[in-house]
Amino acid sequence: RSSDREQDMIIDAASTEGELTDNGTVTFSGDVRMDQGTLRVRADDAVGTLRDGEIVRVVLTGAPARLQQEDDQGQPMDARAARIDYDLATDTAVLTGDVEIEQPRGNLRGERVVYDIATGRVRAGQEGGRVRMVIQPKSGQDS
Amino acid sequence: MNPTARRIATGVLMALAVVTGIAAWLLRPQPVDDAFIGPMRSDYTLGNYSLVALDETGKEQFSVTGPQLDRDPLTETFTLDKPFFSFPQSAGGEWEARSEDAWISADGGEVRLTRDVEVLGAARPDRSRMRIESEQMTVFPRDDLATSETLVTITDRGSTMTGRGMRADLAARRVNLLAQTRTRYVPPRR
Repeated sequence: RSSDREQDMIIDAASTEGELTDNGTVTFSGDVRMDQGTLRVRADDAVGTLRDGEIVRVVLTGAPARLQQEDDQGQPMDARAARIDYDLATDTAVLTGDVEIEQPRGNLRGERVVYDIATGRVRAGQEGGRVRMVIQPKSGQDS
Repeated sequence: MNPTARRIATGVLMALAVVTGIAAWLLRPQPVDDAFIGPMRSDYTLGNYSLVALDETGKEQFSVTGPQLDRDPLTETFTLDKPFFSFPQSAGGEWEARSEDAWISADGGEVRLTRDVEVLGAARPDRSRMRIESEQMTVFPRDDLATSETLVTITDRGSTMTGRGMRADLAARRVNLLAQTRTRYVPPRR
């Protein structure tokens, strides 16, 4: 949801190590669970980047890492990828490596997908990578 | 000796044996109660003290003030009540630490803080300071190292980190929470 970005972000992990300096990094290792409003990410490891003491980016990796969220209409989105690079400043998550995205309106596969955390919009294929999309047929009542 | 006399003699002997046994039991050496060995008497106690610990080169390792300090003559260690420590940092500024109790090793190389431990990192230009809270922490001033085996809470600007077990490099502000960690980050309101 667009309100997710204003929620507290909670990151649980087996262990955490970091330089608590203004522009340091924090490494979360083992069974990483990141929650922020309806945004839920599960991964093996994650690295948070601080700028002026604020977390501005979180890169999560897993086999695969998984990102789930609801959009403002309550529609669920479920994505899997080897790597999820969440930029809090621009509210975008770049998913790379065997990306699979499932949404009620259809599924999408590719190597690199940019997901807008605020709007739920998905962009894929700009870098020439092949994208495969399956649009679900509208069921009888909808048409 | 006729049978009656023999029976009387036997009876007397048995009676004597019983009396001797009882007397021996009553007069057995009493176990010495462990004399109550209380805390070693300090060779000195300071009230409202201020102490500065220097290393071999004469550089200050830390300073501590508090209402009471006791020195153990045997181990040459110190126990402190409600101490307030200051650990100068090579990069400038100092860490401060307070707790209900503390113990300092003879050479000042190890400081154990227990109960309501609170550590404040060196102040930043914006005057914010990292805070570490726990029930137990050990500081190794020479190595700028702090460790804890218990639950630790670290608060720094918008973030709160908790975990069980900690190793912290105070100079580099590098903290490692060893298990069951949770970081809560409050984003700046847009």
